[in-house]
Amino acid sequence: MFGLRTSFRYAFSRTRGQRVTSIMILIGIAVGLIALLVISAVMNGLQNAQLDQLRNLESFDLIVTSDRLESSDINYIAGVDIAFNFMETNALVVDKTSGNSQSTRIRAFDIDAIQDSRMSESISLLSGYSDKPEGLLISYTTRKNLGIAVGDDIQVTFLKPGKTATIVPYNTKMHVTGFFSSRLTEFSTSTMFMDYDKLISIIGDSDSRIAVYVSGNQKNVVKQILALDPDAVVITWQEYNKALYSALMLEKTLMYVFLAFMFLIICVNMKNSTRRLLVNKQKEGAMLRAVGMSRRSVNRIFLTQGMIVCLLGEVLGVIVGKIVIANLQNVLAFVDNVVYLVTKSRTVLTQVPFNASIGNIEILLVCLFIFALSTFFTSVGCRRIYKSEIMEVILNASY
Amino acid sequence: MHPIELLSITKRFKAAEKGEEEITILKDIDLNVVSGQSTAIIGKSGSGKSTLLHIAGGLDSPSSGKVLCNGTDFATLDDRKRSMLRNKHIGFIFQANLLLEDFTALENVMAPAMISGQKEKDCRDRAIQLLERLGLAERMNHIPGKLSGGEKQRVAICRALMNRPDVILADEPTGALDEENASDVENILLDLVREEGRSLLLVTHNQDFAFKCDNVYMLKNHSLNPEKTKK
Repeated sequence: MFGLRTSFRYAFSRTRGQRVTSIMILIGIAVGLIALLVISAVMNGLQNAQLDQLRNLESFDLIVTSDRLESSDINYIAGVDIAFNFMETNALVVDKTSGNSQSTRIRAFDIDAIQDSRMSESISLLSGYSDKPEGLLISYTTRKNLGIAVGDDIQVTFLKPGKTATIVPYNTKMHVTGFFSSRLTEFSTSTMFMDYDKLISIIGDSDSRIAVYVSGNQKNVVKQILALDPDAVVITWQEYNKALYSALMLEKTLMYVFLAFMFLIICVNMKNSTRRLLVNKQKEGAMLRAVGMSRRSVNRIFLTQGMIVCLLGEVLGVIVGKIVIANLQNVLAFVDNVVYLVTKSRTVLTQVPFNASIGNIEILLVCLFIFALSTFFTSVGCRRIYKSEIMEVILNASY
Repeated sequence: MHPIELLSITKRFKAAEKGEEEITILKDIDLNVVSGQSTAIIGKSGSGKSTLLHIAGGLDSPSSGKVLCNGTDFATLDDRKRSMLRNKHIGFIFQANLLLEDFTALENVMAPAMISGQKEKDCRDRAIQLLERLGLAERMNHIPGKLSGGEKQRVAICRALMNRPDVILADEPTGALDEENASDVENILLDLVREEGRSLLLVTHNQDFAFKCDNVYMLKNHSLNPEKTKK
């Protein structure tokens, strides 16, 4: 207890500017931590928004390929939000009026699934209908490329299994029943929707798969699907988007690495501050040993003072960081207003909606890393000085 | 068994430069600090008085010989046990009082007892009692920076007595004080040591102060010679 009290007094000692140094280091750690947490939360928010779009539109949560299972079997599994059959194929679309053409991916499923699932959160129906089984739902971008309107007929060329050849082209005329838009530009430009039964009637159901949206524990759902059909192939959204997912994780890791350099600078300051404190307090340290404190306990006092400064900086950083993250939209709006006042033009800060968020585990890991780093540097600062005899320090120390 | 026994103590310092001979400071010194008695060591500056005192308190190691504290040889103990032994049995007073700058006078006095893990309330009561006896009741909540030299040295005396040690080792305790303050501190120290029944090993070049003690030794030519001995 006495050691801890001494550490605290030493950390904020009024003698020889130690208090100012400690407060500067404390603020440095707090500001660094705030920056790290806010940047991390913003990246999480943007990444989550991107990944949510991908999960809602591109990969679903799970894609199941099974000869035995029907979507209705999977719908009974606890934790499954909705499961439905879907199929996709490539096709060539030609607008006969304008002569424009485009290769596209056609996704087919029960059109009701759009309304009933998370897909509806990511797709906006701009005009027309989505419930005509014989029609095509195309993106607004494709509409512009081909120059077509709702109600137009376009020619679609599918590839279907042939009797003599493996694959043969199959031309059919289809009605454009509506336009949609989504925030995934690549998805919008490359994908059209049509009814599942209609596509089966054209190319057969050999490529049919089951799309699953999960509301519960994904691992448990996968387990239960495999329990129903051990031969089923289940692809999770992480596997489906592996390249992008890995890239996002790499981006985050690199950001952490670069921001860690900022803490290295703070920690070097901590080492120097500890060393200076040791020099300032070496006679007191020797005196403490003379009156019964062991060498290790004295060293611990100096190590603990560094830990106290770091911990207080982290507490301040986490509190302020969390407040900033919770009010990030207001903070960005404020920055936007300030920039507007100066430059008379708006920034993009408030134009992309996202929910900045950071998990407690992530905060804990960041704090532990900073704490470990600062403790290491403080311990480096503590080394050597107390290797000399107490008497030598008392007789020879300058302070 | 004596609180401190020095048996055939020799201390040599290594030469500063290669080729030079080692310097012998102390040679085959025997000294018993008798329980309840005060002992002074006098001698010229550089004669090795402070070195002898620090060796006696386990703050420095002898080149040869043994230092026994209540029968325990310092050399056989690791740093932690040696520190505990000092904390329990020895009180130190240095010329430069060496108080903790960020602690009040009261907290400075409490320090040795807090280090040994005693209850804070007991430590506080004992420290207040000592400070009041030394006329520092009004100054106990001041930090050392706000105290005069004499007051600081009185705080250091209180600290040395805090754990009721068997022996007090004092290294020129009045060396940095003016005559009036020095005289005060001398009387206080000797009175307190007698009242509390402690032993005192004092190093000083002040002959008047030294001869107030029960035993006086002169350190000359690396050896101790008795000048005054209590029977």
